Amino acid sequence: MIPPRILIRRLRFGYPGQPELFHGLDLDVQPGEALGIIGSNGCGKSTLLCLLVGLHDSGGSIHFDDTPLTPPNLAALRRRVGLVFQDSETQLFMPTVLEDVAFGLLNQGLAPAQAEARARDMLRQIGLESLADRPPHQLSGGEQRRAALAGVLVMQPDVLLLDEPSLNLDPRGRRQLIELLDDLPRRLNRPVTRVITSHDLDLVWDLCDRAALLDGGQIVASAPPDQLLRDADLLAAHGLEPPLSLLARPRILPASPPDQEDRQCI
Amino acid sequence: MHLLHFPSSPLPDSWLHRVDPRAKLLLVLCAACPCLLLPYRATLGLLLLAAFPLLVLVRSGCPPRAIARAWLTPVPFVLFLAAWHPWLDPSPAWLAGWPGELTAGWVRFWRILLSALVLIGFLLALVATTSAPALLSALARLGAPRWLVLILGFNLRYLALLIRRGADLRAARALRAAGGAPLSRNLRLSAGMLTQFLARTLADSEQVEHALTLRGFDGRCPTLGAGPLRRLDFAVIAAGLAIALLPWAASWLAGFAR
Repeated sequence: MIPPRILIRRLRFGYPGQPELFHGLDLDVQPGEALGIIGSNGCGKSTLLCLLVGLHDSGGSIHFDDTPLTPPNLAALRRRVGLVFQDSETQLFMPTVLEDVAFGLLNQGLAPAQAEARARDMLRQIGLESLADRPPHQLSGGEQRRAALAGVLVMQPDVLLLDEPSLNLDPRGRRQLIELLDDLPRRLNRPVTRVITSHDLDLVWDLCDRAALLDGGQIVASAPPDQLLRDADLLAAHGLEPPLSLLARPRILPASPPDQEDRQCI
Repeated sequence: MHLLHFPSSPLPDSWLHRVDPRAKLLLVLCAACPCLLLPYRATLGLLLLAAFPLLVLVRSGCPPRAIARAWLTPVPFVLFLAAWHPWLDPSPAWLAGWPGELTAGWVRFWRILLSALVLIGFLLALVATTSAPALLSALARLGAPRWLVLILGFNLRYLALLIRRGADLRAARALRAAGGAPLSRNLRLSAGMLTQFLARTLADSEQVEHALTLRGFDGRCPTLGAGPLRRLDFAVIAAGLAIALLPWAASWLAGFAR
């Protein structure tokens, strides 16, 4: 199945008792695209992901192709959109890692034997096979993150939303994550849209086709990472700094051709 | 995760650990029957039952000192419940196997004490040789209501989360504590910490709810299945039935001897 194009138009949202976080945010995400959303602390990156799966009520509109994100469509859309939280510990709620990974599959109506086989296969792919029967609270931060990712990936979402995916990962785990996420369309044998919020600009550089800079409730710039992340003045103006490591090295993964018409600085 | 954790030793792995949790649960239910149904005059027959969990725990490699501590911890509460009875009912009674006369109150005292020791022993043997997830799965497979299994499972998981949050808060406070503070300040600090803890608990529970919803949770909780019972499991269930009948047999023999 081809992942949907995500269209966000005039998005408005504010937490109760706090100033409005988004006032008319517009953003398009192309099918199969890997989009990195960057921005300083508190600019609303995580909230934006939550709004994309309808966890909070918001103004404006979010469409997945022609389907609007409205209460009647929520259940169907959530089957196609997976979100990995920033805090993996709260995302893992079943008594064992295996049961947690199988949770979504069983809710989709899969037979227990099939669900277990697929969950084990996913754990193997993500390198957690030996921890299948361990309770999630006994895992390290990095292992919890990978288990949470496995629980979402096993449901084979068309759209994958990742909130600070490299948080708590050691360099090796981080590299494996980058490889896994980049290889995802091939593993699933179909395109997968990935929206990644992160402070880890190296990860955005390595993984994303496009980076979008969020500040003041708006997307202020959107461009290929090697263009946007080299713009020190732009980053500085919005509370970010270009990491020196990026300027000194090429991407780990080969860059995709810049064929999207909307990849330009706003 | 084992409900009963023996930190001083590695997690043992005996034949009892490998028995299907359903069989072990049924064995515990069998053992509970005489505690509830045995006639009062046959109460001393429960002594025979108490020996089984002890034997099982020792044979399955659990450290004896930790077993004794876990077994005896609830005894003061049981004694508190039982100690009133000798004064409440002084009427004469007969207890099979007891040399001499007793009052009905004392019979009740021994009954409460022995029943509690037997039940605690069997439960101890169950949780020491079975992981919590396996136990929950066995409960579900034996027909316990789904909501009960679900609530128990989430509580087990959530409890670990809360303990960690609480420990983090305590550690953060301890690391920045500057010597002894007056009691009033300590109380104020503790109240503030409690508020923080509750606020974080709320935030965590909201996150858990989001995680559930996003993966299609609709109130039901299908679980991964377990395999069929094996010969060893049936043997354990049969042993449970035999153990349950033992106190009746013993009391019958004691009555016969009299």
